[in-house]
Amino acid sequence: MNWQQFSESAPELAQLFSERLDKTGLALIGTIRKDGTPRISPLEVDVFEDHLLLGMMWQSKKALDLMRDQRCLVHSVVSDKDGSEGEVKLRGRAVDVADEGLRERSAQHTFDTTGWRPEEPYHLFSFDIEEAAYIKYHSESGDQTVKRWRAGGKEQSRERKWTGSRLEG
Amino acid sequence: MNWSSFASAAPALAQRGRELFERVGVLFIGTLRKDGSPRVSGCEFFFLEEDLYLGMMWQSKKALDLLREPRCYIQSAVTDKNVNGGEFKCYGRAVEVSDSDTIERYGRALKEATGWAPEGSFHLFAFDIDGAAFIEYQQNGDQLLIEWRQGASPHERLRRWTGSGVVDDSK
Repeated sequence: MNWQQFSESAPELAQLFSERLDKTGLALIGTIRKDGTPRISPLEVDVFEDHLLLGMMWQSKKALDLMRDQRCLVHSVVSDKDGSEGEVKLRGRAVDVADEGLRERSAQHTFDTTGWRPEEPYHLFSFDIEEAAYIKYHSESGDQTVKRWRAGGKEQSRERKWTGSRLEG
Repeated sequence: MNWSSFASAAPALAQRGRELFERVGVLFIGTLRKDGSPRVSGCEFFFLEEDLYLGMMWQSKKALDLLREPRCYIQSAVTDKNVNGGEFKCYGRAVEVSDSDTIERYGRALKEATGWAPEGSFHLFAFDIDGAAFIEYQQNGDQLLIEWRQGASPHERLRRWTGSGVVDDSK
């Protein structure tokens, strides 16, 4: 489902992702290379209209990966080791945006907010979200807070307790 | 090859990679799920002796991925919009360490360095590198790229920003 539908179905996870995205405008994306192995790349991400838009340079490796296999994982950037900010992962498919109106409006939006306008040709994907998760490590106790959502279901939250050698719950 | 052989083959690249990993203290690993789709996870690492070690919680998803399919991808953390300091990535295989002496040395050295070591069971992998790249984003949009692949020499080039994309400049 698109960003708007996702944020209605999983408001808390959508908020957690947005907060992390607002800090940098960047995320990491996991894609599949031609030989079937994974690739990770930094990526500019933008929430625009109903979409989570993934913009990529023309013929960049990650874009070519997605043209071959749409399945990908968008991961919030994490900047500290103790994980105090927690991490958000969104799983789904990158759908090529062919709608010229949306491309034009999003290019104008990028120009309005950054002073730079992407020029064709470039790749623009709308992220079709199927699953989301938030994981936060509590560095002192070792406990984890985990929130999960899957398309068609509801947000679920649980606390996992660190026993000293493993997590329970 | 192990990290130290990589550092001999591509010293500048290995140094930048290590600096970028250690700056944040956590790296990202891309693994393959059972259905062949990608997983991205934060991962603890430690340089010891000849190797770059990846330590993982017992039965964690990324560890189970690697036991099924060792081919993986490692990426330095990105902490700001301009990717200051650049980014480093490498691909290869995570080789499970089962030798109890090595596991014990790893635990002791980790505890000495960080004050913390895993208790009980955990997964330990040594990273076997096939290729690596460093990319630095300059203010004018140009990208400095250093690439290396096993069996070849490191190659440095500049990708020039044209206003809408980048083109290669041989260097």
